[in-house]
Amino acid sequence: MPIEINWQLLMPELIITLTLLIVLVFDLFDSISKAILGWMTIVGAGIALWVSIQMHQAGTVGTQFNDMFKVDNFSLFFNIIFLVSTILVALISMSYLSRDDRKQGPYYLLILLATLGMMLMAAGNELIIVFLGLELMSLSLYVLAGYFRDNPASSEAGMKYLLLGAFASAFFLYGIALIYGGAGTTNVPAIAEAITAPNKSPLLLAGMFLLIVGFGFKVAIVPFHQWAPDVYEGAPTTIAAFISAGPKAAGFAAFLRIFMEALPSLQVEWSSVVIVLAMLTMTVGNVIAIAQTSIKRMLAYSSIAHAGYVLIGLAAANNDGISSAMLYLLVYCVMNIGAFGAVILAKTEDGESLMISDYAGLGLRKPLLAMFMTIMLLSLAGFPPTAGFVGKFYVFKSAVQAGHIWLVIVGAINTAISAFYYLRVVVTMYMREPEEELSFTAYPSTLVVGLVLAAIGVLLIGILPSLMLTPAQNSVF
Amino acid sequence: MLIDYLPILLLGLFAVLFAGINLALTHILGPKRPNRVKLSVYESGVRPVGDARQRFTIRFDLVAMLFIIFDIEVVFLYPWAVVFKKFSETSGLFILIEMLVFIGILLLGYIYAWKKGGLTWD
Repeated sequence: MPIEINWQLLMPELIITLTLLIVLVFDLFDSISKAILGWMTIVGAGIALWVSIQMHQAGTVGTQFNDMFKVDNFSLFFNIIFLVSTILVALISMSYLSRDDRKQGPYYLLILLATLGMMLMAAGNELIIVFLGLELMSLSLYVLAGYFRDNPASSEAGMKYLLLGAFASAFFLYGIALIYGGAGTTNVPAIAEAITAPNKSPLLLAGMFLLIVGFGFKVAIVPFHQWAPDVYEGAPTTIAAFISAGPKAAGFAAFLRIFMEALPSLQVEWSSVVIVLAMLTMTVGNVIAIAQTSIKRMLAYSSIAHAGYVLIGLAAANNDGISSAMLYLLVYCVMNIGAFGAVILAKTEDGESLMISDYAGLGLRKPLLAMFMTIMLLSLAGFPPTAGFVGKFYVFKSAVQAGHIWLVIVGAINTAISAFYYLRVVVTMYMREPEEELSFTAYPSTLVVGLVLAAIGVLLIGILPSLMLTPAQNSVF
Repeated sequence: MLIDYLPILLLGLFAVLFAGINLALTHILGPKRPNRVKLSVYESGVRPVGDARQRFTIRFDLVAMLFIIFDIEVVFLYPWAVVFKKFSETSGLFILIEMLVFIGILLLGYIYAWKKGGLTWD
């Protein structure tokens, strides 16, 4: 029995694996400056990104390893989202970590491992592979969330994330087991074939709901969102940016693939659940975000609300819905990492500025920082001509086409609610005077580069939506 | 269709009843003459000292993790060795190299753990 492996299909994953090993080897030598590890991560992820874009444009399709691993435009588009997030996070991390040299090696290793896990999730054509990727990603993130061991808040975040995440993984695995019991296979297309029969076994339905619970935890959908604010607040700010971006996109990648490709015949059952979850997620996330005084908690609730907007795309359950959800995830990752990056940039000599009131008067004292923050927040709120507007517009449009008018109305009301708390930060920055004079640290150049890239991305997609919309539309499986 | 599972249900019921009835019977019928030796944790063992809730160093955790990683490596070698013959004629060299890559990556991890002080006790 000859074994044939099409190495070309696996290129992005192999490049990330290789980068990971190189970073690991270089971390062994104490004589080398650890700052180089961050650059290696960026270069490796950059090459993988370039390869993914090339493969996406060429429309590469194929499966590997007995149909377990599927490369198509869908997985490649998500690869692009993950790798862009990884690069941006590595850029904003460099100055954040430079205080402690010893911590740099494992940090980039874990980021790369998590990225590899996400790529496996997006390309998983088998529930087991999706679970494997999910665990690879989650385990790395648990460690990263508790990365500052000396800081009690960080340890708490890591512990909470570990306990709740492990719990969610168990739900997910149980769902897989029940679906295997109902369909007799864990292969995604084979499941779809197995359950075309009109009688829907309760095993399948139970498995499907457990999968929703598992994914709900991972992408922080209400009512499974409780971990998110605590973890985002306690984790290092760069890691909060990372957790809120890539892993959420990865969760949705597997969510979309499994529900649209493996369980389309149960759509009647799951779409109503998804609609209710989307409404709940948007409303709870946005309303609670209003009450927050800590900027990291506010961004955490805002990221919960954004998961709700993405769910609208899934609820629409048509090609437009999927492509708009993908576009939304890309846009969301860039603007959210940008917003967290601006929080890191607002560091004073006393430490990070974590309360919203700390941002008073920054508009005149720190114009560059205030500009970045304003762009990101306007984009998160969905103002034209930023990418956030484009993302919301297409998601809502797809839902209208699918006939979910009420869902869109709830979404629009929520957008209005969200504008309040995003703009409140902008108002604080430009129209309030600070209570005390703060001495700021100098801008780290890598962080500014990361923010400039994010800002360019947000404005470019906002002005030329077709730049990313067309690739997203070509990526529907 | 569900009726097919009836034997399993009966088997389960029988097992529960058999065990339950026997336990109940010994409880009711058996004579009870307890003394201190009989009530100790291990009747013919060492006399117990303190309870089991003792703190021990976190370093065991690291050793346990390293053990599991290399233990699983060895376990993974067995199925590989079993199927090796089946593939040896067409792509033996390929899967040999695959395994070497796998072991190489683990070796790298071992060196990493060693260099980072994962194997030193103090």
